[in-house]
Amino acid sequence: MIPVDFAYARPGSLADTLAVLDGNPGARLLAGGQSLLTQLKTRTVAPDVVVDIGGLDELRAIRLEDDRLVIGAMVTMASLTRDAAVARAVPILPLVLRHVADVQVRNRGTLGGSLAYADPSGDLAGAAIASGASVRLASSAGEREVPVAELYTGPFRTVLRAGEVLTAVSLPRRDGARASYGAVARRPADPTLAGVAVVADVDGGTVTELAIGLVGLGDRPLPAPRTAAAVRGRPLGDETIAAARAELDAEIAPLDSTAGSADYRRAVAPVALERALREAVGDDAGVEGNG
Amino acid sequence: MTIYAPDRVLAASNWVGRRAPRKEDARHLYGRARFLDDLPFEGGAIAILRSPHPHARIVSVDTSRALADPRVLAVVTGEDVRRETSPVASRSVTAPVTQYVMAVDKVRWVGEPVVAIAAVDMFAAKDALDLVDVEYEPLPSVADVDAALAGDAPLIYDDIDSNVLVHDEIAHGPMAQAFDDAAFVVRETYRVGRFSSTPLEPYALTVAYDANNEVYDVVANDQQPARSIGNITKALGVPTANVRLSVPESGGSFGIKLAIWPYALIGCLLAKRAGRPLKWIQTRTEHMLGGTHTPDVKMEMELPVGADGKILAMRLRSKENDGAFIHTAGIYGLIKFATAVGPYTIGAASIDLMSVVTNRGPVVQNRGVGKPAMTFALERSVDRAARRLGMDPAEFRLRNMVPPEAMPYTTPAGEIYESGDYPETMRRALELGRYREFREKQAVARAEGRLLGIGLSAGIEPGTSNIGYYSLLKGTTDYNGSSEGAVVGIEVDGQVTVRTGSVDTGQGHETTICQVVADMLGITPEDISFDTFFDSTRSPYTGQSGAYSNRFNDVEVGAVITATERVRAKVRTLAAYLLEAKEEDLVLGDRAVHVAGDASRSVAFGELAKVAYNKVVLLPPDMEPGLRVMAYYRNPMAKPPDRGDFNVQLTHSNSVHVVVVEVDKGTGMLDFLKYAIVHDCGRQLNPAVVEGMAIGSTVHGIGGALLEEFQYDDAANPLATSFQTYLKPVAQTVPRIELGHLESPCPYTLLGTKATGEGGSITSLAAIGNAVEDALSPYGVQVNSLPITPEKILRGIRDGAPV
Repeated sequence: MIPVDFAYARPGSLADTLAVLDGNPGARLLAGGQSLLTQLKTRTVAPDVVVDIGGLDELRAIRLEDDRLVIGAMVTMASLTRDAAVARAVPILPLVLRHVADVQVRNRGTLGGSLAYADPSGDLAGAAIASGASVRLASSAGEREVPVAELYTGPFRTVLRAGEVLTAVSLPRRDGARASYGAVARRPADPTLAGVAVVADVDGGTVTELAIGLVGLGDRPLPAPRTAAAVRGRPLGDETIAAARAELDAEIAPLDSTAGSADYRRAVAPVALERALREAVGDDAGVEGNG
Repeated sequence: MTIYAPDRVLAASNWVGRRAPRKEDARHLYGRARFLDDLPFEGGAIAILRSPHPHARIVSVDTSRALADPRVLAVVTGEDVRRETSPVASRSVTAPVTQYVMAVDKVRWVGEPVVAIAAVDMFAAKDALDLVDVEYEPLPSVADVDAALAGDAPLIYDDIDSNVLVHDEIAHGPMAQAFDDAAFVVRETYRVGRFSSTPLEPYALTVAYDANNEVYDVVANDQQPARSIGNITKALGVPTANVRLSVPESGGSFGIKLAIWPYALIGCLLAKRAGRPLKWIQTRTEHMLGGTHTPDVKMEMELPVGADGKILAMRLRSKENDGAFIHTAGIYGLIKFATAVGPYTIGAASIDLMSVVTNRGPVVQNRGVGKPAMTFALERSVDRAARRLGMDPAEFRLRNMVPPEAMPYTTPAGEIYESGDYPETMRRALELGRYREFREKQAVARAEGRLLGIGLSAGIEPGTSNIGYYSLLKGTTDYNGSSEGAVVGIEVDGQVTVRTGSVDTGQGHETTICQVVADMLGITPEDISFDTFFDSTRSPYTGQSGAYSNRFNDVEVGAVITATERVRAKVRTLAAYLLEAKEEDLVLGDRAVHVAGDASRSVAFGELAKVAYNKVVLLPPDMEPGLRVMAYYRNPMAKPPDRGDFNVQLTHSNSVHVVVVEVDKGTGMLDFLKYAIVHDCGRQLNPAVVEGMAIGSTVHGIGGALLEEFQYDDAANPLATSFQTYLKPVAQTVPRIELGHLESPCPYTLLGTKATGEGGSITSLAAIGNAVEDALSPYGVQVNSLPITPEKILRGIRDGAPV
């Protein structure tokens, strides 16, 4: 790696980190490094200070707070994959993590880093939105909590302000919920062209509760409230699916990229949705899953 | 003529033909091999400022700020290159176009070198790129052949009045008669996108200038160093010995590293100025920008077919998008003659070849050069013809194949297919691929609404380039690629040493050569030291030495055999003299020469060598001292260039691929259900090495067929500049490939070997295309272009548009 020269700071606490950020408006945070290091290598970013938060053990905890699971921003994707408590409380997460890049990236990449990166194809953001998650943002002025569905303002852009650090992700517990991820990508580790994360409660074939997070289908990860509403309270038959597909088409605004055109993303989004819904509902709907 | 002489060549049969473990494996698999960037080095670094524009006039270049940086050692601009080097010579272009290895006056592609900087280290060199001020005046640009040939297209070279570098038609056989006799003609236009092999290690080089001896000492991972020495010395105007080029281990090449010499030339200019050694390691993005692509190509093919199901002729109009660098322009079109009629008895063939300039990056030879696209077009058209006749595509191919009794078979242009049983290859492939069974499964799948498709492709894989055919367009003989050199010796301690004029870029040359020499001398591969490093001061190279064109197991092995035979003859004469025995009574074994049937009478190689080098008074009075032999070998089948009768390549392997795919109707994604290959590359020196190359080259084709493309926008801005946007096949997407072999020894090589290494690249594209079209046949969708993306498939399913 031959980056532009930068200063390096490795604070030992969140308070110190916030102080460094306050003094260096051009600083960039280094979490798992899976995005930042590539950008430094190609010199597409050239921050004057890189603030390595790898020493902040306080951001590595996974704990239950009443009805919520709170995951520290520096928890790696690999450790999330292995955590039984996470799988129980937020069943969509392990399903989606399988689609995030590859083993090496998941070993280093962090949940907080991934969400803050704001990749419109970022699978974890779809899972977070479908889970009703919010993120905790700390600055020297205090802490605030923002729903992930409202975190993004555009491609690789968030509501984070200068001097703010994403410290944790707070997810409502959904023990026993059905979850599924319908994702279309060129190759297994590629960016998702159309991803539909589904978290549902099902009772006798009827979808009683449903939340949907979408990735690759807009300039940012999106919720799909109208699509979810078209399914909620109904048995998952062909009619419901058709209504959901129609709503989804109105809720997405995919962009062109070399990996997949907007037209293609729009064409396969309902396929991903249908497969995710059928898989989540499974045998309860009396139809075979096709995920 | 028969050259095949295994009984004469081999004294034992312990190693040739065995799956001997590769001698290279330990250092490669344990990460101990030392590639260029691993070698000890002290010196500065090179960075290159590249054009951000597809086409622009260079108004001014100001390097003063960079030169003012104390860390900067030297700067070279296009103007310096124009003053100090001669222009790039093209292999086949006759148009009066002048071009240099860096941009002069104009930039013609995004990524073209504009300024090169040497600095104390790589950080300083890259930083200094920002200190160069270049003013550009952007010009209109063109990205594809149709745009470049339009009447109002901007001219990319000012010296000529069109964007055509080469346009010629070479025809053989009764073409008009074929069209008159045809019951129907299959006419189609095909396009194959730009792709490449993207070796793990990009270009890398170091250059030091020895001012006392005026020698440029270049170390580069070059695939054809012999040619590079010629290009560099000619460009610099210095004698051959003033450029020393050595080649360490190379991290893959596949043709790509045939084009490193322009950078070595730039390095020479910088190193002389800098007064210290310099290193350049190409970044992946630089690698993706250009100089490493196949051309994208538009091919209009006509295939007249008789009522009896015989293909009567093949007529092709091929327009290669050769980008904006003249060095290799035209060769992808010319080389198509090697496989123009495939494995079929087609009596007339014509190729109208056009090399078109656009503002895409330059092209370089890549695995199979032109033959993958040629075979794609031919084998797609063959499938169409079979469908038109309502005939099974396997049956149609069998009806048209060259029968084994017709071997050696000469194609209309003069290519000589020396051996092989094409129909039997097909029959075995159908068996291995369970063709009939999958046809039944296909019927069931279709009834269920599933899209299952079966594709066949029969390809010719040529080897050893008769590069002389390039001269067809120039009318002169510049080069011929049918020779190689080797030095084989027995050292004073009895060790056998081997060195050749070529390089190895990962094909297992060391292992294979040691197997051959072991059986020639009755020793084991462990008794042999093979010098894997090319060094122009000691390697016995010829003008076209190198690892390309599937030539290794013909001319490189041929040179080693020739040298070893001479060593062996001398060993036998010397041993007979020392043992007071008759030569015909001697046998070789265990690093010694024995009198057959008399265990007490033998002399070790080491003792023979001591006599030959040290105790020379004991030699026969008329015997020259020494036990090292340098020998050159040529394949005599290369014809001098003649438009009426020429051969492009000198050995011809063949294969049939059977591919079964299932297409996901919802997403356009596809899965392989079967991939089976039966191929015949003559005698296999090491079947494990052959299998590795057969599978590797097929994966290359899978990439080009389904995933890989250097996409450009309409203004010729590159869109695929990293592995995030240029998609390679990965382990999860590559099917298990089953291999079967026939062995039809080649009569024109010493051990019966034939081309090995490019076959999968050549034959796979059409097999996959045919399978996908077959899968989509319920929708009547045609597959006319590569890569076949899910998006194209889905569009086809939705509105019938051709893929």
